[in-house]
Amino acid sequence: MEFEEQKHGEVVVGLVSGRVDGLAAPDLEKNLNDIVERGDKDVLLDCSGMDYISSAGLRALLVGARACQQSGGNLALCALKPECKKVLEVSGFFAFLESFDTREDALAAEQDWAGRGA
Amino acid sequence: MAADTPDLQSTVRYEPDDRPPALLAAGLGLQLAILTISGVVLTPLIVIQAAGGADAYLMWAVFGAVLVSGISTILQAVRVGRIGAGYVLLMGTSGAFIAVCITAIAEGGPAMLATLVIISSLFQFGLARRLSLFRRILTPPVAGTVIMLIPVTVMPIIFDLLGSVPDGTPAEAAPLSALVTLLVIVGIAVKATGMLRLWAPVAGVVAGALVGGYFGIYDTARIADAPWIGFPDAGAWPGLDLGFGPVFWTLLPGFVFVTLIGAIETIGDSLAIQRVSWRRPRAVNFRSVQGAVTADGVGNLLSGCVGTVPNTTYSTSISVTELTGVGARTVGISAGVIFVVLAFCPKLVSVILAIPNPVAGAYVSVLLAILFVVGMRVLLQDGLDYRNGMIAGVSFWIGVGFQNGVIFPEFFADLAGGLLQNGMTAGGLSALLLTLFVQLAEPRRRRLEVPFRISVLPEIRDFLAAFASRSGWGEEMTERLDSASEETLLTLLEHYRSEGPVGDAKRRLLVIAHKEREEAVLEFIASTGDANLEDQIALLSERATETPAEHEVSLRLLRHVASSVRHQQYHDTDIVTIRVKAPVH
Repeated sequence: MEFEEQKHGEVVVGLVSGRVDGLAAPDLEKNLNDIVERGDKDVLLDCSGMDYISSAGLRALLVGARACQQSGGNLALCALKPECKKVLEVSGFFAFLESFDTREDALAAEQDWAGRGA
Repeated sequence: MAADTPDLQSTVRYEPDDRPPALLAAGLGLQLAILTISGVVLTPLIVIQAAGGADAYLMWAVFGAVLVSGISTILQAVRVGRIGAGYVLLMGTSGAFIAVCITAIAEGGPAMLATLVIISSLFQFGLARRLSLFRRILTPPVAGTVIMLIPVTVMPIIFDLLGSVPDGTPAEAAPLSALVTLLVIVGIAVKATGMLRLWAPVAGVVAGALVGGYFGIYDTARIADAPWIGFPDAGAWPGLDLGFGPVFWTLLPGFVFVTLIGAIETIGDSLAIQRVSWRRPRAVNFRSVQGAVTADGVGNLLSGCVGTVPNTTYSTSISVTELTGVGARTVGISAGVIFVVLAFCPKLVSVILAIPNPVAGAYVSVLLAILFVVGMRVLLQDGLDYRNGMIAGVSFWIGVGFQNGVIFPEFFADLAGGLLQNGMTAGGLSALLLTLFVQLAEPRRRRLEVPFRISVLPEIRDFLAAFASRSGWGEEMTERLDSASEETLLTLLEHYRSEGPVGDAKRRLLVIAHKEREEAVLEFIASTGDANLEDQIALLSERATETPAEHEVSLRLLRHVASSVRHQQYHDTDIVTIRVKAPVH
């Protein structure tokens, strides 16, 4: 897995590419925790390069989302590939994670999902 | 793969862990004992009479059979360590052993029988311990064929009993008493429903005994002479024949065979009792099955030490549990205690010993006929494809041929001390050899053995990619296999993490892959955890409508990608079998 950060206003855009499996999931979790610990609380994960995600990867997303929300922010996803979208759908993750078709849509709707943490 | 909320069995009133009122448990235990005591007593009676054994030995053997049945039944219910199923599983003497026991006594004496029973029980302990390994060989075609052949080998002896009456008895006494027994048993079994049907054998024996009594062939003197409470002549204990001569080695294979087949019956009964004992259906607990086979082995070991015929589980337990809805262990304990008490009540046991041979013969004939049908059910339980049908059909007729001595007797009659003269042994060997041939002729299953930790994911992925490629599947299927294998590994690791440290070099994971038509079958074999994946998947709701619990995520994904998940938990080994359908284009 590869993770690249970009800043867009108040939102940190994380570009995830490759496989987020049991081996890579701890790295994703660490990346998300690092973002929150340095004070950024709204994270948009661009999953256009993500080929595969397992339950370990989903757990990393869950931990990351909780960290963002506890800091008063939120985590959202965009540009999920169909296979990965299905995985999140089956696992029920769309009940608490927002997902957008493109990065532009997500950033345009920033007011709706960002800064909605506890 | 559907994972609806499992339907509750509303007919189950008391589960194994429940404690029903003492009177109810005692009453049901007594019912079980009455339903089965005649079977327990009649088998040693038939064996010893047919082999020409002395009456003192008969009394001792019957005492031993009833006593050991009681102890074994208690063991099955209570479950001490790894011994016992933890369910109501009645134990009693087995008609399957009639032929080999008669031969043992006739050719080597009662001491030879005792030694053979003890030695063959040791094979049962081995089978119980390595049950996961034997599953590929002791298949339904093998077990079913052997079970069907048991009546074929025993029936000639039983039919002889039908006409066995004292000199001077009216000519019509034997056929009439046998016919009445048969008609009552079959009539009630066919017409009655529920609990009444279970009483058919007892009713038939009583009716036949009454007819026999009318003709004076019911041995009332035996009953009158027997004390109410007593211990048989200890001098009649046969001891053990430790010579291990040619007769022993000739008879041993037949005993081992019947013992292992008896163990297969025990496996079947221990699977069935689990299904009817719980309100919510559960995945089969194979540790309980191992416990049942081990207790069966202990029962046989005790039988040999005591000097009586071997025992096995009685399917009556399952029928009674299903009908009454009471699966509580206290019922099994109660039945066992009653048997132990009955062993010391010779007068009560003599009521059964006094039964005329034609009546006993008719009763056992019905039991053997039912056993034949049990064999058919075992044969068909996983479906019957052409290959398994061929194995079963050919082996059955080989067994019949050898039993009747019509297959090149000039070559085979004396082979290995006459081993093939017994149809069950001959047919069983044939089924085993054919099954082994099929297993060996199959494309070799691919295996990968790795340390049991998450870092082996790339190795597993490469292994499955190569397997998928060889099987002619593309990327989509490879992804499915990746997902199924990763979720299985993550779930197993999670379970074992809760047990203690994992990932040390000693814990290994074996992955086996093979193709079955258009499905991949993956087996993950690891050392033990406690939770069962099948049960956990069955408890998932159909859709995740709320934030899913973390531990559920793997299970949901596994359920999504696999067409079936089977988790067999043995002592020391877990086997998770995943089936993944290839995508249809």
